[in-house]
Amino acid sequence: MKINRDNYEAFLLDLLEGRLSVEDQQQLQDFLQLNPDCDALLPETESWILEGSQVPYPGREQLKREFPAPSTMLTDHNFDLFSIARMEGDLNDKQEADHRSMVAIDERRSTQWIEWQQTRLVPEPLLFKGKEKLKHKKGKKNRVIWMSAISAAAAIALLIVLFRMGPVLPQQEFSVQSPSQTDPQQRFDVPDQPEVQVEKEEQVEKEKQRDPSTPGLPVQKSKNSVLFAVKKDHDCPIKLESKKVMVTQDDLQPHSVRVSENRLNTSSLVGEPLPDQIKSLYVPPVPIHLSSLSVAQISEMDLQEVFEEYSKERNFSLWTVANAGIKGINKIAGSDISLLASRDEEGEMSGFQLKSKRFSLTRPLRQEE
Amino acid sequence: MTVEEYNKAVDAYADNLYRFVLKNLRDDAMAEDIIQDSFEKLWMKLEDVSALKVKSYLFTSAYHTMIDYIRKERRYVDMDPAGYELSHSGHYSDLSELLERAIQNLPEDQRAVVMLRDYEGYSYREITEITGLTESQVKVYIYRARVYLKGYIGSMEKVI
Repeated sequence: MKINRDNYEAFLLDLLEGRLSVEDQQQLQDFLQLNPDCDALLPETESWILEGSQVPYPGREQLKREFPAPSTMLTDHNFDLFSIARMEGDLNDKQEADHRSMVAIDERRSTQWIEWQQTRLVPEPLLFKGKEKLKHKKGKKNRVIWMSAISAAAAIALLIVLFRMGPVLPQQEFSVQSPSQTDPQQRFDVPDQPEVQVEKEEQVEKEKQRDPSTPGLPVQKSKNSVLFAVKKDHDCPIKLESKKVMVTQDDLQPHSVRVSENRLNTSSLVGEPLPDQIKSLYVPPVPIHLSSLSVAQISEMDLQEVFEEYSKERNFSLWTVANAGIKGINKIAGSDISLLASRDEEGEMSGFQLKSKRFSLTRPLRQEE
Repeated sequence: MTVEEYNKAVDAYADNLYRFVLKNLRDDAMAEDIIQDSFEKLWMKLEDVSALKVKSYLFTSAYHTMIDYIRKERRYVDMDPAGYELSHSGHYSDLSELLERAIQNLPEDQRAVVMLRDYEGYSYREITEITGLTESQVKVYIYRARVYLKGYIGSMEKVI
């Protein structure tokens, strides 16, 4: 083994205890000549190398890697070792008594003992400010897991529904909007915020005043009404200047949606009175078993805080489930995801959008079919 | 371990753990991160950790995270017993300040072991469980740290 600054003490110990071979002694001597600071405490190197273990080393006790054994006697040489051992509580009663006696009768030792005691670290009061944030409420762990699972299921359901329904809804509605048949200036607004609805109701009133020429157009108004306006300027067999149809919130529920049998028949649609076509807004009857299951789970898991506004509704729409899931995700992850209906420059609905500060996922609606 | 016991552990050990990590790292933000990380690990292992072992679990987790961080950041400060810094031109108000400076010169292993010993009063066996060192290593580290601290204090007092 080659001697270096990390292991030379072991060689010194072996040398002092007579276990070092002549070859290693020579190696150690060479090392000490190259590193004179390592033999600062050693007396006359030449002599102890020649005499082997016959030369006592005064710092031997300090080089040892063990605290005093129970049988070790206190001496002048191991006083420091005993001092540390006493501080650490490693001395037996007799050893400690001996150390006390030495300290009491020797002023120099007393001073040294005080210095040793000064090396003990004194804990200072230091408070961790974020302690309250580390605490957890009872049951929160399980609740978070369930909320995560429910929200994830809701989000998955949302994506599945959107991706399946996305092309269907506009595809059938906008099939009447092909450039050869319809004017692209059609508007399709999904009911969402009440304040917007009020504004739209006002628009309806204004439109009614501006379009007295359409007295036969059925217009429904209700608290949760939505404007569904179609402007026609093309050469459709039935000439209409501007038509407004109000569809209630209930009309958007799957159970109350009226599905037109000839919805896919564009030619027949063009050939029939437009108001009938517009009035029956088509929403596919997507099963909502998952949402029903979520409601049950929500009730069990006491998630009213997250789903309070949604749980009051008797019937769940797709938007309800979707928004509940998104809200649950936001609650758990602290995110800011929102579900929006994206629109083009003309204000037409062009797709669905999941939006947050970090990402934006848009699902366009295919209008060409 | 119950949630109630967990919250009691937060009250009982968060400050001590914070002091231990902060004194070793001298980085307040990193210390807070390690504390939060340690308690998060405890929370995830809530059912597996005994209330009697929670303090040891927290210090073990914090110690290893801290050592990994120190080594990653290459903050190792080699201790040379013969190379005490004697050129200190400032003024030490008291012994604790002097000791605070001295302990920062210790290698991280020695520093952590001495802190566990003095601040928390851990036994050699408990320190071996926390640090993964052998009992002999722990003793050696404590011994060497004491020798260094005493030598540092003595040298500074001579300078001052």
